[in-house]
Amino acid sequence: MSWLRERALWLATAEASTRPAALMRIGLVLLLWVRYAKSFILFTKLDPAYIGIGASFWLSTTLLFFGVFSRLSATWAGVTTMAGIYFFLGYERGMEPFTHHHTYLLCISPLLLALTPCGGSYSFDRWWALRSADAAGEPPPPERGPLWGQYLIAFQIAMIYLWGAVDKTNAAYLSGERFEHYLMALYFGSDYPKWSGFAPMCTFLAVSSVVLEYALVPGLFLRRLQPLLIPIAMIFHAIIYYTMPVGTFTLNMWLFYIAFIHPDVVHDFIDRMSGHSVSS
Amino acid sequence: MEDPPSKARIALRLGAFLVVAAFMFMGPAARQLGGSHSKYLRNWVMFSGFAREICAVEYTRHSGDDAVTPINRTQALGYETYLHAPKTVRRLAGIDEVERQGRKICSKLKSTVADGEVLDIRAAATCASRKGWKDTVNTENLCATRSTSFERLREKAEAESKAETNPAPKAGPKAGPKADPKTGADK
Repeated sequence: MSWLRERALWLATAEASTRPAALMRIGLVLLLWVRYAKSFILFTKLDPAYIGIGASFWLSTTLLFFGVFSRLSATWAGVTTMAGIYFFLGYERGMEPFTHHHTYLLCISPLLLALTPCGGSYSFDRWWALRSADAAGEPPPPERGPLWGQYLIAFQIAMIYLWGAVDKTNAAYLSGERFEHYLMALYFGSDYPKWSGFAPMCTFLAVSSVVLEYALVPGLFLRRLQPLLIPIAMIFHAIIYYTMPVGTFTLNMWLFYIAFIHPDVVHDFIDRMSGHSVSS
Repeated sequence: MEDPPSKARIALRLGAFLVVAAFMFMGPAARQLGGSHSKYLRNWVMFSGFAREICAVEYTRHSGDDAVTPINRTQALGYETYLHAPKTVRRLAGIDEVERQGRKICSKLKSTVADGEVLDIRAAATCASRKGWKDTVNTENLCATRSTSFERLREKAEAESKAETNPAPKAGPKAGPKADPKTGADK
């Protein structure tokens, strides 16, 4: 019990660099714009709901992008995307594309980001903090903040892999037949490929994708496996992005892999890349 | 350095973490294992419903001496190669479309029939479902004025579709397109 207590206390009190959360903040806004900008440009739909949700979307995400009252703007953006886009337009108004998996991940992400110190770096919030410290004659505040919110983002990604793999653990998928459907629907049409390796290839791809997804659930949290698993997972998603209709899902997953890496490692890497000395 | 968080803040963070993490874990569990249909819970079933509207089909030409010749359907329909054909020709979504395309092939190949010969074109098709390939279906001559086999196939497909909506206790026999690559006859 004391071990559990210690871990819980560590989770609630651990602090680390705010740079990874800031990178996710900026990247997430870009993805939100890529996915939704077209739907909420004023002339696209002169409907009061679209105009209202659009105004809220643009204002909140712009503030979030620049890191102005970052956690507050992340909450505002998240409420707009979840309540306005996902539930209201998606479910109430029946805009089915707004209910897809990748749009849910995008919509929930600002709310998860609001639980992180996402304004602690690369933001107006940071700039104001530096100016205040300068004015008071104090040293610059450290770029550090609580870690627990970032681990929630990582947990969300792990749950996507876990339940995605559970869903695929069935005879139709593992036999490769569902994979045959995908490839025929997208590429080969109704002529079943004559190549004798087609069916074994589909079986292999199906089984390996499920094995990888199960492996990523615990594996992404293990620091020793991250240098191996993160590149493999990135290639896996890149192939899916290139070959199948997945929208922003791949890029969202790429972006959130940052959440698995210890923030101080990311911080030091950025320092090293910038030619500065390493902090630790 | 900032002061360490107070006990209340620690409790709040832990509480928030547990609630959100439980939601992330239990939401999909309730949808995918518990049978819930709540829109407030997210399932992660990417591609589970994708590509169900695709059939694998092979058309064959049958002649009086029991010879069976596979037909290159896109060429028979007048397209130079598969890539020149539009998607609606390349991709057949259901047995209705298999029948329609078969009849088009019949009308295209009419001119190749010798006097006294009966044009006999048949299709072997199987269509996608969440549970894999549906049973293979073999048609009678699609060039006949009315193919009764398709009526039966349609009824069968409808019955299967209903069974998929209300799952039956056991699935039918597996028969993918590779199980009958050459046959075209309705046995």
